[in-house]
Amino acid sequence: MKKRGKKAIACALAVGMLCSYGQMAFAEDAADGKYGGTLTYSPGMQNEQNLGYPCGDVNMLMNTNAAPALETLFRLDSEGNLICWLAESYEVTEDGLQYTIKLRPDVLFHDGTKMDAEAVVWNIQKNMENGKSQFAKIASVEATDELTVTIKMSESDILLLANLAADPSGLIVSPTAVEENGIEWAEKNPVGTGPFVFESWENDVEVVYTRNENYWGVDADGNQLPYLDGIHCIYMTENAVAEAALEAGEVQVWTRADADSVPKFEGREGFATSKSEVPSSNINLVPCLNTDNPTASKEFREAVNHAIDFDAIVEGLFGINCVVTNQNSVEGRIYHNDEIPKKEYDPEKAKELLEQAGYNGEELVIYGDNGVMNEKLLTAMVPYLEAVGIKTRIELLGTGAYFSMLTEEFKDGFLVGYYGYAPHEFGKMYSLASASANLPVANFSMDDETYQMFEDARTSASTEASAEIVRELQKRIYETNLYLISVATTYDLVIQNTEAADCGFCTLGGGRWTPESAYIVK
Amino acid sequence: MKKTWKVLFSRKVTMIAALFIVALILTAVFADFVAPYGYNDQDLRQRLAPPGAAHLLGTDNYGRDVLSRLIFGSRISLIVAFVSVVVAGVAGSLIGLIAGFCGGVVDGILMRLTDALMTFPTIVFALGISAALGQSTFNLILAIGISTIPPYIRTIRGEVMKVRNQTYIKAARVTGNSVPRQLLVHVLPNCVAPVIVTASVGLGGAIMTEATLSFLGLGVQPPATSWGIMVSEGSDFLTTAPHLALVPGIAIALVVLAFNFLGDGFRDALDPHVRGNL
Amino acid sequence: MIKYVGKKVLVSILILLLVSFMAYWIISVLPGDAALIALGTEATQERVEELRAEWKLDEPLVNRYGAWLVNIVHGDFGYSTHYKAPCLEILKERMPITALLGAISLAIGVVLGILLGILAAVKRGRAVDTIVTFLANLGVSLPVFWVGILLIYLLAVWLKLLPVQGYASPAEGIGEFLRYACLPCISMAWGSMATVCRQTRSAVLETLHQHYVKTARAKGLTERKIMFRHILKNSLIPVITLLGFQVRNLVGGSVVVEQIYNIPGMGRTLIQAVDSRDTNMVLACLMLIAVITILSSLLVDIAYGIVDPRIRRGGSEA
Repeated sequence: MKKRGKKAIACALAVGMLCSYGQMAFAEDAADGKYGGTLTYSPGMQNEQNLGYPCGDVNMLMNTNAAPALETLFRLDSEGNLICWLAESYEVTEDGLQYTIKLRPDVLFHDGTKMDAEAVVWNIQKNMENGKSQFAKIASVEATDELTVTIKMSESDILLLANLAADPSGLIVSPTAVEENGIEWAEKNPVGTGPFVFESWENDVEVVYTRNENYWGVDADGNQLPYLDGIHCIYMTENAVAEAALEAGEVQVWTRADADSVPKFEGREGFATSKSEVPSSNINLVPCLNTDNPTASKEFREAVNHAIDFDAIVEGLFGINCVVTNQNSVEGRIYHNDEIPKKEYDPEKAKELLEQAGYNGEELVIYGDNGVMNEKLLTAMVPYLEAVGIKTRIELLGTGAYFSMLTEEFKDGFLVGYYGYAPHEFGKMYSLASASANLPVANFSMDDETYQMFEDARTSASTEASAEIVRELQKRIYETNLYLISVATTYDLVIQNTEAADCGFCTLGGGRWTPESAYIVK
Repeated sequence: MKKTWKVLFSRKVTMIAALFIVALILTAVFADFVAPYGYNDQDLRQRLAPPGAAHLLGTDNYGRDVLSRLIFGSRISLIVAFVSVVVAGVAGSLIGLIAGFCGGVVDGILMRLTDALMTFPTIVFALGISAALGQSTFNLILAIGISTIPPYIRTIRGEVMKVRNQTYIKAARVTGNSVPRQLLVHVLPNCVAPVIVTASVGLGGAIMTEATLSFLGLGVQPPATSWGIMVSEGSDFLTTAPHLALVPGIAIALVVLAFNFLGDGFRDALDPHVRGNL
Repeated sequence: MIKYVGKKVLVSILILLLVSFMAYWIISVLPGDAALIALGTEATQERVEELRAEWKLDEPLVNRYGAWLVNIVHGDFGYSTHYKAPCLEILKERMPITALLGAISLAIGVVLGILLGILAAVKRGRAVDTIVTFLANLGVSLPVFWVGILLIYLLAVWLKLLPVQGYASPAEGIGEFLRYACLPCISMAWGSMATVCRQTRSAVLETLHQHYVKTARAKGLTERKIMFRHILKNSLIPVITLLGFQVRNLVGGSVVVEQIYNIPGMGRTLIQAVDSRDTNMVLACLMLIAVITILSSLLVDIAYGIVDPRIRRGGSEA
């Protein structure tokens, strides 16, 4: 861990992006120096129970931890642009009702079978059979050629390509492997086209991958990828332990690091910290609109919005990887509505609004899951609320209780909800807040016009048209009606040893990274 | 009785421990007056300050004064400890009395239930109860209280059985005096001693258990504070602000030590050999 | 003696049944739906229903308990909804780890505890005694997790002597195994050692005053003979009682230690299972814990029988 590389490699994890296959920007090192070594990284706690069957029940974490073995047709870069990956090229008709995807030739799955149109069709069909809303608007999918997939839509769907790129359901696995061994086996054994072959998964402990000698990818000079001999993913529950492991060199990269750990590594020789370019989630306070409780009143919600000094909280506790936002997007992204007024910390105004709302002193309860972020956030909010006269209590719930609360027991107060950014903020907003949301929040509903806008945005023909509708949506939800109070948007943090280079941990959407280009600096 | 106290306090260590505990209790009761700040007075611009003039023990992650939180935190830690010990003691004594009096089948069943209770470590028990009933101070007390009942049951039952077989009890039966009353009159004084000893050690154990449960996230809910939570929160900052975890950790250690010494003192004070030698 | 042991065994089985029912009842009261948790936010209502039906989550409690009991007797611990595999399979791998580390910690704690306790008792009042007593008192006052984290920082990060976390099985080499097992075992053994030390010390001190010791001295036996023949045997009885408690404490401690050191053992599995409402796995773990505790209790009782002849001869129940 103390050895220096031949060149000082700066903390840049911002790798040059891949536009078409094989194009990579990398350090001035000769390619030979890059081969060999194992990358050991930790994504924090294990949250997924399925690592190899994307057509089934998936979880966003799968994107990160299955990445060495499984790949997708496309990738999304930090700007939200589509990059072709397993697909060589694609075409969409003007009305958005037909997609023609040409696949890259000569790609093999780890079990030796070919990655061809039939295989991709199988993957998509299985997803459709399981009723995945991401593929709900597909009418039919066919292999019109050995390497051509044609998808016909029942309705135009602006989210399809993004989902194929950044949603875990878009990962492609070997149909043969799944058919032969069954779904249960597949969930624990990812067989894909990726640069590494899956070796073992000790549940809640570690995942081990070894080099795929027959990987289809080559670097800019034509050298066979990947560089690494293997990848080791170690799950860790305690921050203190992850830090210690990083210090001791037992782990080279800690993705999803805790903001409080960053100061201990910042600026130190041999370590680098970076923030992902794509935001990872938007924290919202979801009010219980449909029952008789303080949060059902719009004035009360406005009061809360003014009572809390969000800037102080975010700056003080989460400074590095968090920004205060007033909607489900951040400045600079196409879905951001710049006209929505910024948050104003004004306790006097809050008190006025409380009077207007007729607040009777009823206790306000805020529910959240018991993750570290929620704990800090909610704890910091209480004094502000109490200062304007709102009696507040917080309840941090374990996973089980939290889900129950979300879907059944939510009857008063606020619930802390996380809206992810994969494939992008609209995609997630749609799957969580629209009328066709898979898991609707109990006792929370918005008006019909708003729901209609969700549908309109999804079936728009172009990204621009869709984005315009979404911006309107943001206004409706976060300003006009204040259905949701946005608190902040977080970015994933990565703390790593400078030995590990070109991992791409912060550069792609959806928690993806670039295991094929990663190497160890000797 | 007088001799007990005399023996107890002849030892310096026990005296110091007792004084320490009394001081602790007083501080907890009068926390509002003693603590320089409120326990939830957060100042996000003064986070993680080292010990200094304005904040004698520094500030924590939210800019709250550590000393004040320590003082207010002692309330919860002490309340949880004392109440759970009282719960365990009362319940345990009652059950032990019943088991001892009735003997036979009732005794057998009660003892088996006790054994069943004893198979689970306190942590596991508390895990189940918090998960089932939700996290709150009350549930914490319940969990710790229930899982520490067995020693009291055993002790009281033992005493009752000892006395039951004494001749004067048999004599009482002959003369027609009600047996239960006799037992009560003779048993209870003997029970006080071992119960006190078990209780003092139990207090220390309860404080430790509360700390561990808070560490696992099963304890008191924020922003309420207890020493256990303070250590748990502080362990994230061991390298940048070690005092956050060290201070409450030391506090826990000192209090547990004090209770242990007190317990030792009681045990020695009530032990005929030691009393004899003094 | 046989009668004594036999009776204890029967009673143990009864207790196991009681424990199993209590546990099943508590777990079923837990809020939270295993199917929902398994599926996460991406779930659809239909899929949740499907999964609930698959896992038979809607049947009444007694039915489920009965079915579960029958399966247990046949050695089938059910299907873990969290790990998506039969419970037995998962536990077969994880239980031995906890057992191994626990056994090592117990051994360290007990052996060192007894030795130090005797030392302190014999050298009573001198410097050695004060130091040992102080350390022992400290040992029972420090919470396990604090010791664990402190050790990591001291020995693994600062001095870089040992690895921070993880586990290597003995199959991969005894050296590696010991390196990884060092800190966890010390963290767990610390408390036991302190307790056993204190108890041994006071037990030995008590025995030292007994009449038969004075008699033995008067008879002219050497200190050594007195020590072994009289003192040790008699002072060991309360210590044996302690052993039973220590096993229980170690199991509790292992839950925390496995969390901190990232060891794939039973304690960790239990916490994960409770969090995901994986009823079968929680119960499987609880039953294993119960079996271990009851077994050790049984062994302690048998040890009593051996050491204390009054019991062997069928005296009153201990």
